[in-house]
Amino acid sequence: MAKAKTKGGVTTAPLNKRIWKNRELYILVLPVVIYFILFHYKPMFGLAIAFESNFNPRRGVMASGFVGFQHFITFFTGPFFLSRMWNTLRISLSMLVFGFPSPIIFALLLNELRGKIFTRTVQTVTYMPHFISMVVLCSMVREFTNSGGFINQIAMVFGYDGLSMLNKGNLFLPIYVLSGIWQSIGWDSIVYLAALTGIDMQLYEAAKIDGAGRWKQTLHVTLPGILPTIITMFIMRCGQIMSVGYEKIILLYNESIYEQSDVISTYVYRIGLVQRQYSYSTAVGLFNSVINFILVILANAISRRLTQTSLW
Amino acid sequence: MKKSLAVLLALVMVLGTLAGCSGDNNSSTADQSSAAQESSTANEDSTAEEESAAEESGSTAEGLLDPIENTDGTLQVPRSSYVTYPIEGADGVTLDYWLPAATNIANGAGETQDTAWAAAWQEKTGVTINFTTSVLGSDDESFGLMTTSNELPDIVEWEWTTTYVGGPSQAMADGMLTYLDDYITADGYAADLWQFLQDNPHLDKQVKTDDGHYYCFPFVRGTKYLQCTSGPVVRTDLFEAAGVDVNSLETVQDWHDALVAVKGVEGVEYPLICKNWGNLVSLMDSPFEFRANMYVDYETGEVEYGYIQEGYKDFVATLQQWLEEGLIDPDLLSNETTDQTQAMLNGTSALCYAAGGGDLGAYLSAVNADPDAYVEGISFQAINFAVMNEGDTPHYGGTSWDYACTSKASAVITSECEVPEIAAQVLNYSYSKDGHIVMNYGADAVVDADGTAHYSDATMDYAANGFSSLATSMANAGRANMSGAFAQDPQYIFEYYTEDVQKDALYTWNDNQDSQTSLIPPVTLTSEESAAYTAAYSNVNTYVESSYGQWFALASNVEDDWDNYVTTLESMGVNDMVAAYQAALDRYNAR
Repeated sequence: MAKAKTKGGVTTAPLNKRIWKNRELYILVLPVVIYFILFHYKPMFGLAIAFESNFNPRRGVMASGFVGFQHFITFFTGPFFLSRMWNTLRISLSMLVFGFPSPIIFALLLNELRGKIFTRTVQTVTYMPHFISMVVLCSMVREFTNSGGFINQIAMVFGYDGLSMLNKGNLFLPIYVLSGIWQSIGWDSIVYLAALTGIDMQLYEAAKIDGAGRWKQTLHVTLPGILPTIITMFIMRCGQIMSVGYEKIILLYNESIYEQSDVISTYVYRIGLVQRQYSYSTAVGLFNSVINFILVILANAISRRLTQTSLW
Repeated sequence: MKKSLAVLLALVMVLGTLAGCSGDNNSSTADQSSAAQESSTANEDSTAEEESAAEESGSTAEGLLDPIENTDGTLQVPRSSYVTYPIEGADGVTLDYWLPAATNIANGAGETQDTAWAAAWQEKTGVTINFTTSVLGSDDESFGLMTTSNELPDIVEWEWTTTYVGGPSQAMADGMLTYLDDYITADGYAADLWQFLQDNPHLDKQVKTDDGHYYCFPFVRGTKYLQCTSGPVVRTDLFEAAGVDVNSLETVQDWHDALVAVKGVEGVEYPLICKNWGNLVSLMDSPFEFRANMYVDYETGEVEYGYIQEGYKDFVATLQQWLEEGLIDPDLLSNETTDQTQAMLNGTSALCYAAGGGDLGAYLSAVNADPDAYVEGISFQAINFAVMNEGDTPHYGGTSWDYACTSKASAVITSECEVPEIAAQVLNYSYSKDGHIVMNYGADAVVDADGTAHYSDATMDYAANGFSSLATSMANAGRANMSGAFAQDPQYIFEYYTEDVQKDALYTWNDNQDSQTSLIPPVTLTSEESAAYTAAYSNVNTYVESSYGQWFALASNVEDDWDNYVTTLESMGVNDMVAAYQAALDRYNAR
């Protein structure tokens, strides 16, 4: 917003005058800029510790010996690189494939509803899980899927053996994805609902006159109408592929499903914060971020070529 | 003349204390109730005498107590009062004190800062102490964050011999701690700790670095009844219903047959339950002759890594068999404390690994509080650790070293402390004669004529003072039922364990085993050893955890996987870890 306004302002005036003219907007954006400098740019200098033998907080960032890419090599050649990488991709791609379309479909369905009160009720109910703290949400999931939990009981009707579901490696992924959808579907659909209100009603009328039914209207009017929003959300989502939320996994996993649930970020957490091998875990974390960065650029380039919509 | 008389009186009193401690614990606890009533004016008189003796001796070498001959390693409790309290020149001094959060405090008084012992400590020493604790249950993470912050506290309680990379010497180089050699001397600021260590030469050996430096104010757990406070506990009534005499259970085969029998009793689902994997290993490792992670082989005295032993394979194979027979709770790996408590009280399980205070005590008080809520005749008792063959002695059960080095509880003075001599005197208080009693039992402790201390009636009557349990009330009064930089008083546990069932559990678990020697003693790793250890540790640990997870879930058979498992562990450098500890152990043994 701030950017658009300054562009639309008097471009010939000197910079300081332009800033003064739009001072309210600059003040509005200032906290965000400070936030990014403090929490996203300043810590980058700390990345130096990924190339040191082992960072020691008491002696400062530059005090330990330089070892180059040794920590990266240790990780790539180590026994857990492939399995943790695969788990990370598996879990986040599943979230992308199943988690990304679900709020869009949900928004489209809501859009078709005509009863105002019913629509509002449904919306409010589906928002709610978003406001539950992750810790509480995960203990609910554990409680439900434990032997004797209500999801477990229902599954037993269909022939499930009744043991705790979180002790079975092959069930971790469905539990993770479904609980993720349950928590975020309402909240994530807001942006699409907002985009839906922006579609010109005349287009629908024109489509109706041309003989399009509900399904054809959705396909040819609604979806193209919110496509820019979908693309933008998708590119941003691609940047998160490698950053699976470690909090949720740590709260859900146990030793018997490490093979299926341990991802790079939980690995970094255990090595860095619990075992205090700061340099090694920073190296692993940096690798993770670099992959993320590449994925965003790729997704953006592909989208620009295919749909002319892109972040930059 | 007057001085020597005072010293003599003090000595007589101390000997009296010792007689009370070293005697048979069975009889001394039985005597406690009558002895408590005798505490009277005689006691006050002798305390006064002792104080005058201390004043005259001051902190000079001439006034030292006579040495005690102590070669068999029995614990001599603190008996000196060399350092004068309140501390001179401590006005306006504030010390920042970081320590791991204690469950007993979290469940009761809430914050360490608000406990009665924290207040008493500050009042007696005249120093303001600002306590900060870790997040309960996330000690490692909190410690990691604390060390990375820009300012260190003045005093930190932690364990320094194993998980701190590089051990005490590296911590010294990092500025996490300063050596205490100047303070722990006959006329230093920690003279009372010095006297305590002189009286207990076996402890003196344990609390130093390899090159002879003092580095901490140690957490001391000096007698056997303090060292093994967890073990197997059964629902006696359920086993009786199955026709099993729990006192006859000895071998693993006995356990198996008993579990099969008790599974037939109505209501029992999975006879054996534990809170987590670690407890399951502690419960069953002795017959298979290994320990989790690093340990010392009982027969050879060499360091071994438990999760690679043949015994561990047999252990897992046994577990897999029992799991297939439905004898073990299959949800065990994701269990929490409450799962075990509920299963034992509801009778869905009949055998568990329980702590005498926190678990067994909780079961007993739950039943006492509302007997109608439970099955009639519900009863618990502790049984012996299992062995492989009849007549064996368990060598790998619970227990700890006298210097409880694996507890995150030994205090150091950091390099950023501006008044280390005052910090030393504050910490020294717990090892002085009076401080020992105050820090264990509280400022209102009752002291008998023979010097034995007890909790006050107010502490014992926890409900009247708004505490939910005896454990939380005691944790408010003193530190005895928690860990920290003090010497745990040998008698406290017999007051903490109010029920006879609990006291019997202590005797059962401790009298019939000999397993301290299979624990790694308080060795100190060098920086190189420590680096080699940690480099391998994270991979080895992750692999071991996911492997036993697979086996426990019966996803694969341990017999089929074993060769591959051992090869993988070796390729991850498990032998380097063993070598690092072996070198450290050799240096320790040579001290």
